[in-house]
Amino acid sequence: MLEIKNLKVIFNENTVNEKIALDSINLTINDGDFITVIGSNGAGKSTLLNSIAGSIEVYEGSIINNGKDITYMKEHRRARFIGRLFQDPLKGTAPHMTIEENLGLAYSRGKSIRFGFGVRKKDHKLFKQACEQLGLGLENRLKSEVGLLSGGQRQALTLLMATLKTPELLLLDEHTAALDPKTSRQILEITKNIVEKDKITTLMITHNIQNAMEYGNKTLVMAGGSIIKVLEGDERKGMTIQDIMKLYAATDEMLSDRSLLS
Amino acid sequence: MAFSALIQSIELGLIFAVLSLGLFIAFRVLNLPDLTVDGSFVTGLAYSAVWTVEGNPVTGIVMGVLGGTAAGVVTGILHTKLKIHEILAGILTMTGLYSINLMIMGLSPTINFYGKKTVFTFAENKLLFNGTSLGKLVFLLFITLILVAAIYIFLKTQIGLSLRATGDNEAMVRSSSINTDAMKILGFAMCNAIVAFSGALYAQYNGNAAHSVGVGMLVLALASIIIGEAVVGRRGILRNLIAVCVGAVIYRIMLAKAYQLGLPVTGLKLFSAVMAVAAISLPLARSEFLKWRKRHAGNKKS
Repeated sequence: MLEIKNLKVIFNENTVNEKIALDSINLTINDGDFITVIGSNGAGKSTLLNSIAGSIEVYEGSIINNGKDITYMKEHRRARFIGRLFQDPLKGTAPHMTIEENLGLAYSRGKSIRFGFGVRKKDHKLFKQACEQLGLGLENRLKSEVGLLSGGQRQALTLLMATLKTPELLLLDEHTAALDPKTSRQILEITKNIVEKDKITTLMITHNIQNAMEYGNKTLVMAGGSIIKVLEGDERKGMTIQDIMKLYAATDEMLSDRSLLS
Repeated sequence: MAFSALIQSIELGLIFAVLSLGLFIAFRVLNLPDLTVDGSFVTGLAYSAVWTVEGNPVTGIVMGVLGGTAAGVVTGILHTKLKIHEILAGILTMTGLYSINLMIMGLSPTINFYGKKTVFTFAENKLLFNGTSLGKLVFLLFITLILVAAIYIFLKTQIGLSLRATGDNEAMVRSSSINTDAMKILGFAMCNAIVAFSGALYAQYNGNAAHSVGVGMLVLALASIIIGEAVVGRRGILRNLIAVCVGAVIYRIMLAKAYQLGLPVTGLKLFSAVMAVAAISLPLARSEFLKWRKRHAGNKKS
């Protein structure tokens, strides 16, 4: 269980460009939740994920993972139990290393001592099986350099690397946004299968409202650095894209009123 | 070129192959061109010389390697913890080492110990072939091969994979539970340890140590790496490592040829720089030429 309490993030503090990126967020993510996050640009979606992963400094508030305060834990330490995917498929893999070397690296996640070979004989079968479940034929190309793969294949591989050692939390930051619609759908299905199979607690940002409703069991709607709506259960099932658009529109009005008054 | 001169060029080439293997770790694996090598080469040279004078050549090499490692750690900390640009971090350490190396050498810019017992002594006048001893060549070949094998195996271990990934895609490594700062410091340390080892061998091979010899070592190693890649290719790590060694030997043979054709000793550093520029620009020039020819041919047809 991940608890976020009163989380506040401020960019460019004490300058004219000061911006409250996250404004007192409270959120509890239960084990096994698959939460989708939507909201317009600048709503704070990525900032929320970045502060959970530890790549940005938190102004106040706390992030507690399974009872342990990780608010100020270093990024690479958190990476031991948090898996992460970015929008850019090139960001998640090392292009000049082979598929199995990339997987070997991912498989050693969480171990502090890293001696012994990166790709051991006994891991081979595991890597092959893991690649087979993607259905992209990567299992026959384990010795190929990752730089030779397509964007979709690289993103699928990144997903595999993030989940090879089942993480306590998986953060997906628009991980299919840079892919064509067909590949995007394929990667989403693979994501769903892996997440459901290993019951991974997941937070997924998307700009595709339909995907946000279709996948997962909860949806967060964010605007202006706050969570304006948590959709779950029957209310979520009944939601149409039009309803969501109305939610967006309402916040736009609210924001413009606020900015007019200030 | 006389046979004995060729053998000597290959021997020196192998010593500089060690140097280039060191730089390879910083430059190709971590993608950080490390200027510390100009200083750490002399650190190895200096320790090696003062201990050989005392009659302990092996201690000299060990001390040299430790000195080089320390220099690399300093550059690594400057770069990762104090956020100094990698080139500047290297220059700073190199500049500081200039004084430190002089102190190691007892404030004398040259040390001569010709005739003292060195690590090469046992191999002298062994394995005679055409009147030239191949003992030192075989010994150096053995050292280089061991080093290539060690680096190759290291780069296949988990920590080696982490090091390579840090140079390949830092963003990915940071989100995969590896401490990139530690990896970079390790890389700088290994690079300079190996470079200092090369310096230590160089001193004992020549029987003297000159404080000024370090200038341009980075350029020399760079030229060797790129020449090797052009000749042998760079697919796969083992091939890459062998390419570096081959490049260093080719470089040295070309230098010997240039001396033979009348290059004055003062022209050595200029030669290194020109060779590096040529090696870097040749692949570009070739592809530009091919493009030009293709366009030209197209114009003719229409």
